[in-house]
Amino acid sequence: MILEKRAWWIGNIFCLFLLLLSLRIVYWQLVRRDLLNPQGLDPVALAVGGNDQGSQDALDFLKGGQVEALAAPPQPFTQRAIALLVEITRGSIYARDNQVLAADQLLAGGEKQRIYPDPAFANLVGYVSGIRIGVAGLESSFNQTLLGLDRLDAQLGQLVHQPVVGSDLILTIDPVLQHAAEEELAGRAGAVLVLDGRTGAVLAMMSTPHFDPSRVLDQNYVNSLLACGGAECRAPFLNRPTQALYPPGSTWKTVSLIAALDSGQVSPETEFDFGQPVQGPNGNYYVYEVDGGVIPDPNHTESKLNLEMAYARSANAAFARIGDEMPAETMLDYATRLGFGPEGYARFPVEIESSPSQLARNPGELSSNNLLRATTAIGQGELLVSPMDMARVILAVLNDGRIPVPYLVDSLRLPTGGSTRGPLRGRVVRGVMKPETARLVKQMMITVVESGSGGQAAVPGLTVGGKTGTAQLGGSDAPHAWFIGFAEREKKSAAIVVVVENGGQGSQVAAPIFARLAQMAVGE
Amino acid sequence: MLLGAAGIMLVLGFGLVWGAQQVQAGEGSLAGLPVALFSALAAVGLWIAFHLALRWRGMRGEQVFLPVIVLIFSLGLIVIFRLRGEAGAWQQITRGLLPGLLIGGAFALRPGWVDWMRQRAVPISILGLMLALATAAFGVQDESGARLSLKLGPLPAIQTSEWIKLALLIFLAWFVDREGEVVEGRARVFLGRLRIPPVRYFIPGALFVGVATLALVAMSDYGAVLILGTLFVAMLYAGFQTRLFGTIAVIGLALAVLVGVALALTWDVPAVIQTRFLAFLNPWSTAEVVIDGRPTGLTISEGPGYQIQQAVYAAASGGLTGTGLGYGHPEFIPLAASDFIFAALLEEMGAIVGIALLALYAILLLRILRIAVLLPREQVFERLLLVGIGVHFFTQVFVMVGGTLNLIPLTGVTIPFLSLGGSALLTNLFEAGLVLALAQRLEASPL
Repeated sequence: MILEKRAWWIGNIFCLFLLLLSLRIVYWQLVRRDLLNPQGLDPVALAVGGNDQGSQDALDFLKGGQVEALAAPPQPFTQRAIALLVEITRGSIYARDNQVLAADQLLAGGEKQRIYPDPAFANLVGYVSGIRIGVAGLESSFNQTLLGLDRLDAQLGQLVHQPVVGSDLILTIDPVLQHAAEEELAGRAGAVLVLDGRTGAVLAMMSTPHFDPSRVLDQNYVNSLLACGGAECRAPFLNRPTQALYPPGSTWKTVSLIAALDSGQVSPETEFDFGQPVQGPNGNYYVYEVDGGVIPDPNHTESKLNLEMAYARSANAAFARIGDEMPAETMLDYATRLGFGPEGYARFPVEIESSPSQLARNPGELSSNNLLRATTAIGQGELLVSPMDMARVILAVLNDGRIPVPYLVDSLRLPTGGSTRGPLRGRVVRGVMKPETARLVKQMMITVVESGSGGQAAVPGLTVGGKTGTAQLGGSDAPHAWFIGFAEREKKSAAIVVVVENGGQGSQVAAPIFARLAQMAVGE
Repeated sequence: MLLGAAGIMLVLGFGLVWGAQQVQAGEGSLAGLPVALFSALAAVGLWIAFHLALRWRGMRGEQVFLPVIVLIFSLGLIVIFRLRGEAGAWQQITRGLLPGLLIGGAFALRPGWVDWMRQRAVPISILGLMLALATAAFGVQDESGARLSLKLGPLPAIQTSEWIKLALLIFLAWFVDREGEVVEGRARVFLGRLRIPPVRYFIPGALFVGVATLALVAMSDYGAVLILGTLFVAMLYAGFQTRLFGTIAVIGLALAVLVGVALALTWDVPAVIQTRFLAFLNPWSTAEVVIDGRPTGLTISEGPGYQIQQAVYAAASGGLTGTGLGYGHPEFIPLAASDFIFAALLEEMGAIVGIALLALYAILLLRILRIAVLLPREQVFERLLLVGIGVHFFTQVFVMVGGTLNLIPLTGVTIPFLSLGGSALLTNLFEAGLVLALAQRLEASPL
């Protein structure tokens, strides 16, 4: 009888199977913990017409609905995520001076509520939705940090059911500048971005019109915002400094100038001869003709200008020629180095939602279509960029061709005490252009303010440089008013971008806003 | 000692569950505690009575088996009490524990009854088969269309698939005992290695297994089919010599493939199996379930995958030590007290208790196999019966826990001694009684 041996095998094989089961338990608990990690459920998307029953249930739950309503299938994830999240104390978000921007507040009865004391920070802080999950702004992109789920100690603590407390975010934003930016844009749609010129720290990031995050869970409020047209409530959930894409207008001439100077195509001595002006109903203007297309240049009266004054006067004919004569590869190369286009976008991470810029609908066409290249060089063409994209150009000029990557999060404060620096703080991208090129462009930007189109940007006592822009939109819409520039005093410097949607002339509308913000940012 | 510890654990567990419910209800009075502990104390009383009866009979030989069962049962009863309250615990005791201890105890106290059973193995197993056929034909249909239980007059409905497995076990043990050596002696050598006995020796076994399988398929109890198959293979493996078993395995496998292909060609794979398999591959799939080319309007994640999702979420959220009794959310899990009791246990008691429970089943299996090995060689029927009982316990655990954790496709069976379910507990306790009866044939040993 061989039963002894057979029983030995049966026992061994079956114990092996039991070991497999044990390993499977460990697999679900350790390897696939992400199953339980929360996902965003967006009340705004819901209002736009999403029919996600899970989000709707979660929203009802937070507004005091019944958990029983969630017990019905098929929402296993929602049930568990809610159960998990009500136990976590979400981290707070603070401005530079420790002003509270977002925090969990304990209500009577042990429930928690997210409060947002200052709506001026709405678009950059974002909001937390139905089941206390960030779905916009920093609340979304730092969701895991704010929940503490990215920390090993919290993950291990969760295994033994220690209550999880999230990490706090300390931002670089200066509330005084942020509020000043809001006042400057009051009643108009637009964006303001103020950055520390040396470090890339974001001092103000304003988007108007904006929403009130403390009312986002009120569906009537969200519906009324979304139903409203007009400039006073257009796209209130968009964070314009990073997400909105505008034609850059003449501010783009700075990029063309950098590319042409750095590649050796032009030098400060280059002269532009515009030939005979054309008679028009509103006075004479110059033109640049290429491949049958005509680019008008009404910005100056001189028939000859050197490079510096062509830039200072924003001479379209000069920069159309630069674009016409520039190889497409050079144009794409410098744009990518500065963070434009999909490839450039990938080189410069942004801490909140942002949109990649567009150089042309089909960038391959730039090499064959001379007219497109010429119009692109003056900032029209098919260009679409965000204010953050243009801010990087200023930072590169200010820092001898290096770009300190703009960042919003100064540090993370851990509940265990101690802190770590923000993920992007201190990161620098080098070799964007030669240092000499940067210094030449910087000087030319100063000339723009001293004796060119940017006169209204001047601030007594500060060294100010910049570039105006008036982005034509076609049709009867008023152009977007742009001003990009920097202000310096001793060691302090700031890079500032102002966009006023349909504001008119950049030199008249955006430049004065720049001047007042520059005074606040680096003035005495 | 172990028995006492299990009893204390049971009472403490009930107290914990009750305490958690009081805390969550915001009450602080101890007035309701005696009522809450009543079923726990009743269970402890029954086990102690059983233990004393065995002592009185002079039980020797196996001292680990019973306490391990009491531990497993106690864990299960705590979870059942947590999920179903006093009514659930009371149902488990009156429908399962009490009759099971009576029947199992009768065998344990009268070891000679096993001989009586061996002599009547054929009529007993045929009776079990008839019960299965009767269930397949006249059983009570549940909402999913499966006929699992038989209602006889005023008695509570019984799930007969448990009895079919037992009948097969007894039949195979008898067959190998009676015919084994004859079969091996008459086998002819083929191709130098294979030894094939005359075909007529296959007929009774094949007939019995075939009829039982068909009855279970008619009852839509595919989990039981799986267990039946494993039992069949394991019993033949334990009973026959290598070459003979190898031959039977080869022929059996070839036959199974042939029959399987033939069935698949002529007969649609049952919808239940199709959907279970799809859900196993990806329980979160949002693909629509299509049965035989007809869309059902139901996605996998909402339909067949829903239970697995809930079970896996529960297992993952319990963590190492569990949420604590009464502080998890096992109410989200469907069938949490019966089929998915292991998921509920993992959530509230954690991976530590879950893995310890699996270890307890390993101990159970090894103790049963130990008795089988130590029994005298000539008691072939008894030894094979023990191997079969051990394999039966184990496969039930593996099929259900594996399904719960999405390690294998899900089929609903009960976990021995743990799940809520009177018929299953009754059968399992009867098998435990057989083990205890045979253990008394061993010489007394300290462990």
